[in-house]
Amino acid sequence: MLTRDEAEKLIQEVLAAYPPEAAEDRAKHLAVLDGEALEGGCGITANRKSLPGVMTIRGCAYAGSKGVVWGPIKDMIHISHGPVGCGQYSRAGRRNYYVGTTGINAFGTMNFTSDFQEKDIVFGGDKKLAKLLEEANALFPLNKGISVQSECPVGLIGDDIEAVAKKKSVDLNKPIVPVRCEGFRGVSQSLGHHIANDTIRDYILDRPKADDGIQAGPYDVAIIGDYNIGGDAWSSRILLEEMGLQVVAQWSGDGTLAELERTPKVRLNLVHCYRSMNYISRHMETKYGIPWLEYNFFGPSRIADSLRRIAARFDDRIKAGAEAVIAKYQPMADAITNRFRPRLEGKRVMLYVGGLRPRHVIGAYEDLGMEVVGTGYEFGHNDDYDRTQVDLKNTTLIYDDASGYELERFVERVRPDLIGSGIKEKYVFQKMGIPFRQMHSWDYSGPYHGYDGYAIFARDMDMTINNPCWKMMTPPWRQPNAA
Amino acid sequence: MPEIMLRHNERGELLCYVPKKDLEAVVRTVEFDQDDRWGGTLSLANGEKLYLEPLTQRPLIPVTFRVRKL
Repeated sequence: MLTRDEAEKLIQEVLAAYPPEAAEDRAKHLAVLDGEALEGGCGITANRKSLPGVMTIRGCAYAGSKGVVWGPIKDMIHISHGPVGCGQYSRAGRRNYYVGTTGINAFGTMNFTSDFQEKDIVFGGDKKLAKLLEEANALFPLNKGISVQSECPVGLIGDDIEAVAKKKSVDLNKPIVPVRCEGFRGVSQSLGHHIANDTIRDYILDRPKADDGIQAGPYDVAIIGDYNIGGDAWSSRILLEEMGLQVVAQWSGDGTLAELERTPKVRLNLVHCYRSMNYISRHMETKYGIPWLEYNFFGPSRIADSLRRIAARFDDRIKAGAEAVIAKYQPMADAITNRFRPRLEGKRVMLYVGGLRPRHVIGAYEDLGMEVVGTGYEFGHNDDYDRTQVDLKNTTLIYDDASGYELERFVERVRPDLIGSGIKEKYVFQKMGIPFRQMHSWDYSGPYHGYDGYAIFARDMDMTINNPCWKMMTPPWRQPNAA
Repeated sequence: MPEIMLRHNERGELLCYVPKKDLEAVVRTVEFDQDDRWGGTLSLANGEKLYLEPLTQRPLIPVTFRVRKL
């Protein structure tokens, strides 16, 4: 554990490598926190443009819209409108599991693209889009709707995708949603979430349609911002249903268009990923009067806390249900903790992820006796950092939009026992001899949410940290002939 | 004339959200905080001040307003 002085010195050392202007800018994104919630926020600058020349691991607005918000809606076709690459590299990488037959009534892992060529850039791609919409609809007639995810060139040449979508929506009698999520908009994927949420508002929730006649039940809730990575939404959903609530919509992992349309009738929106879905929750709160609540289903103590906070919004029946769920699963959670805690106690973790996890997983690590000694967001906003400092107990390094160089230097000095970040960082740190877990897509494992997920989470962390392979490798700096 | 959304947070404080800037801050004080007169200068926790033309009654929260930056 670094002391406060050591951590501040480390930040100064890292900054010393930059030219003065860059150092001045990066200094605003790095901080040391010691758990006491500061008045008026922790003062870190977030959601600013990355510096040219300083490497970043952020994604783009298209990634935010296609990869996170729209992509997991399984019964709609999501067209990547533009050159072929964006669609291909965002196809199924996030492992948003779904039930359905791919190509028949589910399209989540398929790549639909207009595959722009030179002539489309020169003459515009509107005609191609119209034809593509017709073809896709004819080939996959059971799709419930189509979204058009625009890539950078579409915005640059100024194609009117809204007009095409409007016309084809009438022709095909289906919602066709044009999403202006060109990658260059905003500084990271974060604006893509916002844009995509706004199109759900404009094209789905506000779409005039015949009332489906379904009356809202008193315990109807929606899961918002759970993308079902490795089955996360499923392991969360069973807990909510066991306590007596009825989950009528999942946004957007394993979700359907009908679920989106029905959400304005729920009693409470349960938000997991605050960063990507708070916008639409706010809209539903002002327009339909649906309250929303952020919950955290990582690790038994946070699950119990969240279940009680959710139950507090309902009557005694649900409150009793929540207690029954906690009582039922606590012995299982305790058995997992008892088994893995001795193997993981005191291990130190550094995180660098997006969305909700830099703060949400802290509780799960603490349940296993581990400490989080550094954490940061790729694309968090100031309010994310304000919420993070509440969860941090010890002196902890905080880094916003960290560069590859910064991360490597931090890791070299802090020498954590485990790093949780994305695929781009994985092999760098493994070659430094440090155990690594992917905390974006759970390293092809999962789920990590809920009690079922906790068992897998604990096993995965143990499997990674206590893997005998770490004893067998000599990191480069210990090799005798290292330069 | 930025748009703001007002809601109560879990501690019951008034929370202001500016969609355009993705800014979320607690409203520290409201100039006129009476049942028949509500609004005026709103001071946010981050130091910004916004002006809302005083309303003749307390608004039902959550609510969206257009305000002026001071």
